[in-house]
Amino acid sequence: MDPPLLQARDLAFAFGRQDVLVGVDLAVSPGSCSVIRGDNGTGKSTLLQLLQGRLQPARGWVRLDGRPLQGQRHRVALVPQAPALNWRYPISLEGLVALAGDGDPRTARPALRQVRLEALRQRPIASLSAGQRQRALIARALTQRAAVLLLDEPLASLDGASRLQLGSLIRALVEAGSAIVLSVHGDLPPTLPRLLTYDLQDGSLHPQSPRPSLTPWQLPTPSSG
Amino acid sequence: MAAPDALFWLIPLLLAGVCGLTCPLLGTLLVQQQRIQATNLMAYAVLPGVVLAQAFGLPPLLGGVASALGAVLLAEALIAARSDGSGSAEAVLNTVLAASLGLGVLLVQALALPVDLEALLFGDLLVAGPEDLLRMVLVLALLLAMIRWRFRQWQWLGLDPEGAESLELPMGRLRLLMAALTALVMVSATAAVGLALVMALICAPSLASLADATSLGQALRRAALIGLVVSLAGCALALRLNLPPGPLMACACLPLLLWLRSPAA
Repeated sequence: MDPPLLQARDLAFAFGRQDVLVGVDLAVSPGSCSVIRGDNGTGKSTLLQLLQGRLQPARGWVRLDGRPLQGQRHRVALVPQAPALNWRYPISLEGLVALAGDGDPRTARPALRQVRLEALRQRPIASLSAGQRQRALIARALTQRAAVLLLDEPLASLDGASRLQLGSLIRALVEAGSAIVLSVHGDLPPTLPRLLTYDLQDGSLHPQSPRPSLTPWQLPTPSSG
Repeated sequence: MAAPDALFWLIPLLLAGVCGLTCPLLGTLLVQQQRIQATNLMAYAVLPGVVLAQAFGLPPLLGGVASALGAVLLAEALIAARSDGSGSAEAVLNTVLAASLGLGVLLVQALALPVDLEALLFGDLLVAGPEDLLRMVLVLALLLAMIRWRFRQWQWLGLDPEGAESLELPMGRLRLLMAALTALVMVSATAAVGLALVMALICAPSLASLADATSLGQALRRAALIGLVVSLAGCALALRLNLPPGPLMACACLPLLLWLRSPAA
């Protein structure tokens, strides 16, 4: 039997003496969308950073295609809630996205088309809105050919229309075979695909029953912008 | 044919021009990587190495580069060992800066060496020789080659170092390469134009060029052009008015900063 695309087993992590995660197991398949729900401070961001290899677990392991993450971390892209990215840097949107490839701006265009930002490709990144920045980082992840996208609170700073747009984008990516893990607290947009939901409580993940996605005729139409 | 003495201004002017190209190019990368504090530390940490090199009969360039690199690596190790926030990083850098400068002055006195501290601060462009010019040209060529060779990675380092770590790009090695380049430029240019002007040329043209640049390449070209104009004009004016070139050129950087300020400011 093939191993899951991304698998975490018995993950534990602590900040000093404060346990944050204890014995977390997670398996992610291609073309799936997993949602990790939990209040602020429950360790959702920490878990995503462990899954990307930015943090090292105190115990347990993370594997991609059955192999250790080291040497293939570029296949797991993390879009942080507040990326430590210099948005004043002199670079166009196209340049930012292309950096994840070979640097040639033309390599950015398919991903920018996918996230519906192609029209803005020559704009400086400083002029992008919060929702556009979120989608720009997703486009960058697509350009680096990441098999798994980890989105940390992607809905937190978005207005209603942008939430619907992001939901539709995630749905399209999942249908195209990407594996997506997102952390949220609060409501989810109805445009998201069928979800595997987990509650993160007291440092442990608890699976919930899957939430069915809406059929296309039930979806609200996201406004452009 | 003009007598050699009649062309006394040629090498200083050319050297000022090469420094005016080199320092802003490096500075544009350093400003974007938020490394100006560390660069300032390296500028002053040159002194103990130069003094020791002089005492042991070694090339001052070697001593200065080793000393500047050692100081910045020590500061980074001390910062990494602390976990009390980013504000402490500046405090550590400034403490190591003060200690390096203090050590240099103590060594000058203890070894009773004829080190001219004023020349270190403001340089002595008018006594520069062809070997100084050749050394700076080689340093400029090396810097241009490094920028071209690692252009995409310099962009990552200034734009999103965390993202670069996630892609497992060799950021540690790149930071070390940048520190070595900075030390080399710093020591080579300081011998000609002095610490004050090196820092001014690293910061002012870069800030002016980054104000509304749309790409790193454009910012680098603009910074080099601004640095070249300021250096050549400052040096020519100093020669004409019989003033020391280093201090005059350093002063010229301030109005430059006010004139070419960010449109968003």
